[in-house]
Amino acid sequence: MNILDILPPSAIKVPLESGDKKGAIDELVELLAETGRITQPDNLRKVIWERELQRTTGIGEGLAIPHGKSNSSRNLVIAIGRPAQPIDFGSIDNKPVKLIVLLASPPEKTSDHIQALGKISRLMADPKFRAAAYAAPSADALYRLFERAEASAEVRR
Amino acid sequence: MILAQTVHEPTATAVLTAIFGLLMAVSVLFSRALERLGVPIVLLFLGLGMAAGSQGIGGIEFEDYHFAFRIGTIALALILFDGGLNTTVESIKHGIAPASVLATVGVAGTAGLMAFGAHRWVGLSWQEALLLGAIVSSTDAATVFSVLRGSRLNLQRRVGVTLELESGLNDPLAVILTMAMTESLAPGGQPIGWSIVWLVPMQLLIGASVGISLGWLGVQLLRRLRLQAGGLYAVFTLGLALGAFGLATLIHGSGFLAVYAAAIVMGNSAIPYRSGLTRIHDAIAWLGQITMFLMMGLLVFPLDLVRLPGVIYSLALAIFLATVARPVVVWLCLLPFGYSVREMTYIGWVGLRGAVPIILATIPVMENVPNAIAYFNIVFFVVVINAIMPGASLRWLTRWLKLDVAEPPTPAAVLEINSTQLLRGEIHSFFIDESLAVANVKLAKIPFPQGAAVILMVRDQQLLAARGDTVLLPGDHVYVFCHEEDRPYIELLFGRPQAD
Repeated sequence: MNILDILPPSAIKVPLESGDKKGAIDELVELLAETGRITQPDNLRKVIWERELQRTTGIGEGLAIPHGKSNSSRNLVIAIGRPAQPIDFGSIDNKPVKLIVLLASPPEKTSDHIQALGKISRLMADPKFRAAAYAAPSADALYRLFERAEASAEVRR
Repeated sequence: MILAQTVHEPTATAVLTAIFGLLMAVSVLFSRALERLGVPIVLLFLGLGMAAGSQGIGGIEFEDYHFAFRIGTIALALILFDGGLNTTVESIKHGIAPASVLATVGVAGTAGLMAFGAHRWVGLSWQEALLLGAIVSSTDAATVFSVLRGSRLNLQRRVGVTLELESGLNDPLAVILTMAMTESLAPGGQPIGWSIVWLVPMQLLIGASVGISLGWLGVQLLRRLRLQAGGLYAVFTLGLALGAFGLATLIHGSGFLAVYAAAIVMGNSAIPYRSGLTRIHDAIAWLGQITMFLMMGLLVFPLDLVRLPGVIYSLALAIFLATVARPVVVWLCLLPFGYSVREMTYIGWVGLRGAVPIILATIPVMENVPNAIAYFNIVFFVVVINAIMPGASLRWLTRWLKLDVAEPPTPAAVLEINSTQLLRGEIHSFFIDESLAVANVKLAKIPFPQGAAVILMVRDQQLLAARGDTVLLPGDHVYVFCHEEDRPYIELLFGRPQAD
């Protein structure tokens, strides 16, 4: 899977306006709706929040990957936001979150959904990539980071 | 204990172990039945202790308040440690502000109102009345944990969190107030001064600091320790718990707060041998509860309890606490936090009392405060009434106030896997619900890190082998093997690990 296939530059927002967890999730869902990639944002917000209540998706080291399955889109979609200031996400390691990668897919595309979760996690597990992503000054810079990462992954393949 | 002095060894020890062993075993056997009735299980132990006592059928004479205080304190510290291990950072974030107000202003307010009642209707002097008020002012962690978690109620998160945190945090102030009032009433003691105004925050601050530091230190050491015997890890954490209590108390801090804080820090950190540790501490906490309540039961004289007119006063004060003092204080404390009327009514009613007041009531007895035994009996009544009334009505009240959450509670793990040696890597169990990414996914499609896998599943009553083409369905319990460093990712996919 190539992240760039599902991540247009318009799905990245730097910085996010909101300073809290709920606001940031809402903002990314809104971004997806504004760019026409999902319908029924309310439904998506609800399922993402339900998952968040089950267990925080702030998986530590400043990264959060909120996700949910809903009929808001016909395919897997991703939105990425970097908050202006690190925000409290109730993360596993209690550290504030510096990058939020929001993922949504229709209920029947479970496989894509989970592959994307794995892919994002693997990518972000690289400390160098992570540091660069957290420091990205603009949406454009963040997009280029993903571009480069996918390109070097392509070379290795 | 009289028994131990008149009979020769080893008979005396044998008699003691036989009696306590049987009492403990019987208590456990009865626990299930009581749980269904909603009566706090701990009251059963209290009743058994009374039955075994000098005025009951057991005829065991036990009147050692010092011994009871010591054992009770240790037991309570260990119960708080277990409670802290199971308190998540998320719940603290939700409830720390209101719980702190309840644990400070609430405790003082309850003590004050109870003192007013005792002064007005029982005719105690203000000082005596304040002592009595202080003793019964805190809710009991052991009872609250066992009632809320044992009744399998799916209580709204905020309400449950507030009650549990309150019970863990409010003992320190009750202890401090009781000590101060006892000191002012004891023969040759100092009258209470203004120093209490800064003494209380000081004790809390020191207690919290000692607890957090030791908890942090414990986590660092546990991560570096390489012990051969798995059991030694629990000895280490047990030592840490007792050490935190003792150390904090020695440097004039609140030992109870220290234990609780240390456990919260450890419980929320990634530590090795975690499932084993939480299970062992759970067992220790139960042992602590049973021992403490059995002993308290032995300590009271049931026939003295029901003597007139004391019994009338005791009953009146007990009911006053449950129906007026606690609710009023809770309302005043929680109003600024935007709690709904239903939530405040509930928290106000569920002011479960337990062993703490009974332990505290031994303090004036030990310090030879005049009439201390009379307080002890009043306190006993207050505790029993304030455990039974809220405990027995809990289920009904939860439904009536519509405070239960619609979805079914996460079932506890159905299978236990233990290792006899310390292994690198751990097995966690998860309950699959619809919201999780792995729901309705074939196992083979799940991108596991190297060295992690689903090893086993339970569907309905059936154990299933984890095969590549098996689809995870909502309602399944799955057992995932992973290494500590992969745990965040595993939780991203599988959600919250089930309670051990």
